[in-house]
Amino acid sequence: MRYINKKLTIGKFSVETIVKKYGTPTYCYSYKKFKKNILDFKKNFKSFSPLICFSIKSNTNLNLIKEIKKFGLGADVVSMGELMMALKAGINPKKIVFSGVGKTSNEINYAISKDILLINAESENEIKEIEKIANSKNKLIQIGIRLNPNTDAKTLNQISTGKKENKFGINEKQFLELVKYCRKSKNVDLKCLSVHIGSQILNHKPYEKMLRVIDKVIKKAKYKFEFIDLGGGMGISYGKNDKLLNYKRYNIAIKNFLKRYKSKIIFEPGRSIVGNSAFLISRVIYVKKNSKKDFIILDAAMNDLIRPALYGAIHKILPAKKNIKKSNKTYEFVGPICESTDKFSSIKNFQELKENDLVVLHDVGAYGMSLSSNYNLRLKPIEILVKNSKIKVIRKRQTYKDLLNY
Amino acid sequence: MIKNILLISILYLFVVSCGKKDDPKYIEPGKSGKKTIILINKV
Repeated sequence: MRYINKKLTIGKFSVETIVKKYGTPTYCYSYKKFKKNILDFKKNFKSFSPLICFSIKSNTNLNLIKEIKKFGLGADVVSMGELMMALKAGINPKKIVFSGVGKTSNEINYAISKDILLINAESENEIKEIEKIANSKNKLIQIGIRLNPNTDAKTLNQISTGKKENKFGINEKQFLELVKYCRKSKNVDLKCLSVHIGSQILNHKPYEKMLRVIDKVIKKAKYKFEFIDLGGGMGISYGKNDKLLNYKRYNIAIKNFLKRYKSKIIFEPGRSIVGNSAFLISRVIYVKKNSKKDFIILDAAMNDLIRPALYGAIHKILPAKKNIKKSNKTYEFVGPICESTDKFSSIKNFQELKENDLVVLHDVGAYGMSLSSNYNLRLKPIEILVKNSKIKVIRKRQTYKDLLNY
Repeated sequence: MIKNILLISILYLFVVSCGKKDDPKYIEPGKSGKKTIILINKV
């Protein structure tokens, strides 16, 4: 995305042109960008060719998943709905891993019937439930066990998942006991050790620590795991002050690990694949003057993009059309929802805005649309994909008929 | 030649420093006012 003749442009389309055809608010994805992200991700770890399972939770758009699948990626799913979506997109079941702490019997049954690569179990009771269902079907099911490595991912508390106080995975002692249990089982085949320490991680050190913990646990377990699922969590830059994750160092740590263990590595990236590939285009409904700051009331709201309200996330905002006149007031960009947390950013020195101006919120491809809702009975936005010199609607804007029809 | 290089350098510094001064500045949330903690985790 760049300015051409002072107009913000995606591919060869200006934001103004897009809005004329598709309205606002609009999620706009760049094919070029996520293609580059996938190729970069593969390149970063090419020495050991991992199985890359795209984290469906980060973006659940069917057409987008179909595009991602074309690059040979599998899927990481956490519910029956996500599993159905991955299969609908044509992802090979042998490239699908099913994670999550609370899989129901129904979900386990479904996953078994679809013959997916792995069900990553997160508790003793879950393993027993998988075993019971597999036994009733007279099957041997490939599973993984998620270890909680008690590793601080140095990310936001709300998205940290690998500390002992988190609900995810099991501790070392339980893990070793369950490995013993699985050795004797006739219906579960323990193939994988899985971990995932959190999301939006920008420092390689927690990953190195995580690998040291896994190393120690495997030595104690004396078990040969065919797969080591390292999860995802690779962060992206949302602002110019964010340090980027050092993939080289993470790659070196994994390569050293693989000198000792001949396992296939699985990754579950989401944000690093689609995060910076999308923009949310919004129109200024009103400029509400205030003594200390002006409120820029947008037609996009927390129901369209909840990350700022949920995690205090900051998404860069740029005007669709540049002008040189700066506002001398702080602008608070808010949505129309009846919640004080319906706020995107407060920005000083922004260019002067008026009603009907267009602005673009950046890096909304991950946990943007997938966390959207109909709160305040607002319609969900349209999603479009800019691919080569074409724009494709990848999900239609919700209508009031859709909204009132359930 | 040297004169030109000097002139370009000065112009460059002028543009960069002006740019920095005028860049939009994002105010971190939670720095003033109450902070809401929502306990939601993503696997």
